[in-house]
Amino acid sequence: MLAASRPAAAHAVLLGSTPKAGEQLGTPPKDLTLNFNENVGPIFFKVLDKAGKEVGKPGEIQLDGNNLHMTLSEDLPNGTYVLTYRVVSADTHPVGATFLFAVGEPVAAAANVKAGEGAGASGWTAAVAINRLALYVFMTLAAGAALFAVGMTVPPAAHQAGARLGFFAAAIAAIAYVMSIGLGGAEMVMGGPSVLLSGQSWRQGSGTTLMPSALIGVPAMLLLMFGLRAGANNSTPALLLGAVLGIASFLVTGHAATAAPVWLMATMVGIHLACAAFWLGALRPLYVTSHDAPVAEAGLAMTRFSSRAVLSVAALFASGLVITWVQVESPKAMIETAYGVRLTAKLALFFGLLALAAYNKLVLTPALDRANPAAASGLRKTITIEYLTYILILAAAVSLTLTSPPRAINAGGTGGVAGMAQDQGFKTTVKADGYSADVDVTPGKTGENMFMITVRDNSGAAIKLESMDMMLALPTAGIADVEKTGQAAGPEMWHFMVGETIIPGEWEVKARAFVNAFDKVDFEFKVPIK
Amino acid sequence: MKKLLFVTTCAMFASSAASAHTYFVENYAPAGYKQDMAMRVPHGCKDSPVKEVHVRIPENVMGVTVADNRDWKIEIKTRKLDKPVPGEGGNMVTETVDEIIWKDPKSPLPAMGYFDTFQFRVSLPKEEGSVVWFKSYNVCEKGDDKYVEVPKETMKASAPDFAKKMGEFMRSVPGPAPYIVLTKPTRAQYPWETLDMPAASKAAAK
Repeated sequence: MLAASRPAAAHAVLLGSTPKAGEQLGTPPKDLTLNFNENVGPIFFKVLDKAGKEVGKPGEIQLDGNNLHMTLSEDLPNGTYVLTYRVVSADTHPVGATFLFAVGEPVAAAANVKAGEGAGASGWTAAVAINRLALYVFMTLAAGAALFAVGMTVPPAAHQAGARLGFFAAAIAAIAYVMSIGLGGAEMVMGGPSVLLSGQSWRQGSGTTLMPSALIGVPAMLLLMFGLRAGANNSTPALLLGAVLGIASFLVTGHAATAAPVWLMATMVGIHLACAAFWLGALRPLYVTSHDAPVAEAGLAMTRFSSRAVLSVAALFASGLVITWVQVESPKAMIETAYGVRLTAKLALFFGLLALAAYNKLVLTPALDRANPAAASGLRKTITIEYLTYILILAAAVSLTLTSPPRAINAGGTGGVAGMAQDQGFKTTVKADGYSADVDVTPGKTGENMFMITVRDNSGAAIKLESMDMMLALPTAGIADVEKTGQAAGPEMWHFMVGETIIPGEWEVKARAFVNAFDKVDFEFKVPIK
Repeated sequence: MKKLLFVTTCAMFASSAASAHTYFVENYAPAGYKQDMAMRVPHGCKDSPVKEVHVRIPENVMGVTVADNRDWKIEIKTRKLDKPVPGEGGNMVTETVDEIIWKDPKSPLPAMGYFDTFQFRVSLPKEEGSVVWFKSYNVCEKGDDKYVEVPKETMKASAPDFAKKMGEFMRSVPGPAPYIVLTKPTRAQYPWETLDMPAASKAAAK
């Protein structure tokens, strides 16, 4: 029965295939071939598209010596495909594997990305960061222009200059909102520049928090454009609503506003943004005032602004402190973690800005009041420096979004894809033989997924493993035998990049955690890929 | 070229199970015997040649000696016993072989086409009908191949569905560990012994 007396032969080994694993074909293939080292009997051999639909027909599969062929009667449309097979070797042992290839476009998920590099290494991350900086700068400029228009009185020319700048800023921000979806998706899909034009990138991006952010942000920018064009007297509600919605659009994404306690953090981030926007929005009208208006009038405007600026700076600083306290958790982390260092840099820039503001208030404003013309040109200089400092501060804020705060790291979070809230992806804990495994799958959507697994003993302490491997299957689509070897991502954390999860469904995973070379703990779990 | 009927093929191959894993040349041995074990490594890790072979001796298997091998360097790892046990000639044994490693071969075992056999001698446990699993793994020039899977439930050769269960198990895991089924001895191992008093227990009784 057990065939103990059968001749000992090696398992069948795949020597080559057309197309190769991960290959990008220029034209649709007519014939798919698997070349083995020996005669094999096919159990199954199929090609699935991203929807999990089988292409080709079983009758079109032919065996020719050591080769298994599938002829395709119809051209495959451009896209990524999953090739999955299982054959029996001469020794009757089934062997199988699954790999991806693509027609006419890059393979949807880079299955061969080296572990550890993650999504952060792609050029798209830079594009995402630049777009986000543009969004931060122009959204705060637009919202600030609106808040300033509603809350401050300056000469009409200055008002118009501020409103004009705000109008253009809102228009650019609206475009940046839309682009954030495509770029964020492209960052996940990866590949060349053409990926940005693919439907898949936009679908991926629209599945993240970038979508609700844009859905709030774009109408907000349109409201601001309308309001700033019409002038404050006629459209105070539109301006206020636009500014509030613009700020709210930043709260649905990013790690600060989504950290617990959410109500506190969202409020703090909202106040922080509103104060910063107000300050930024004031710069242009004040600049124009100091340039065009009589010195005395400029002095009056500055005095009025100063009294409110002091309040808003205090609120800005206080809210910033609360956010820092929650995110960073310990003073040491301010210099020892990447997030902390960037935050420290941002704070240093802020203090620079504060020093400028103090100079404006304590030296230039009284001088303006004394109708000193030199003070007006001095004010223009400090305003220009403030603009530059502002952009640097926002750049620091963007760089913060690209790294994980100590809070998330201490909690065992992995950061995930930039621009996505921490609660994205799929998490589960499975138990077996007195051990438990924390499984974290990001983004948990079709395309490449990163599996992070930490195994704990019954006291809850993470344990060191000798090695770890995984076998994935999607029975509903007939995919089996997706084999993965884990990479150590830290002393106790194991990391798998899985590119084969391009078909949605309930993927079944068998993970083997080797506590030594011989002994292991088996974990079985299911991962929904959306 | 011939067209294939898929369903038939599936059914045909599903009905047979086998091992081209690392396995023992003899699958059966009498319980309590001193037995020469020949562990066969039939191939490399996918397409990579083997450069190291490891086997772990199960806890209830004692008296391990290893056959010399001029092609591979042998390394023996031992472990301390919780309680010393009487060995041959009445000596108390405090240490036993835990792992045997064959490494640094004159030339690595090719990935396919040839097999190699690794020999050692053990005292098998006396539990008739039980299955003794020797976890094993091969290190190749690229990657490794693990044969460390053992059934979750204890298998008994006397159970009526033993063959079915073994077949199911062998098919369900990626790399079953090499094993030996302990049979009921029909005679004593040596002509100067009787079945009710084999040599080892005689020595101990003296």
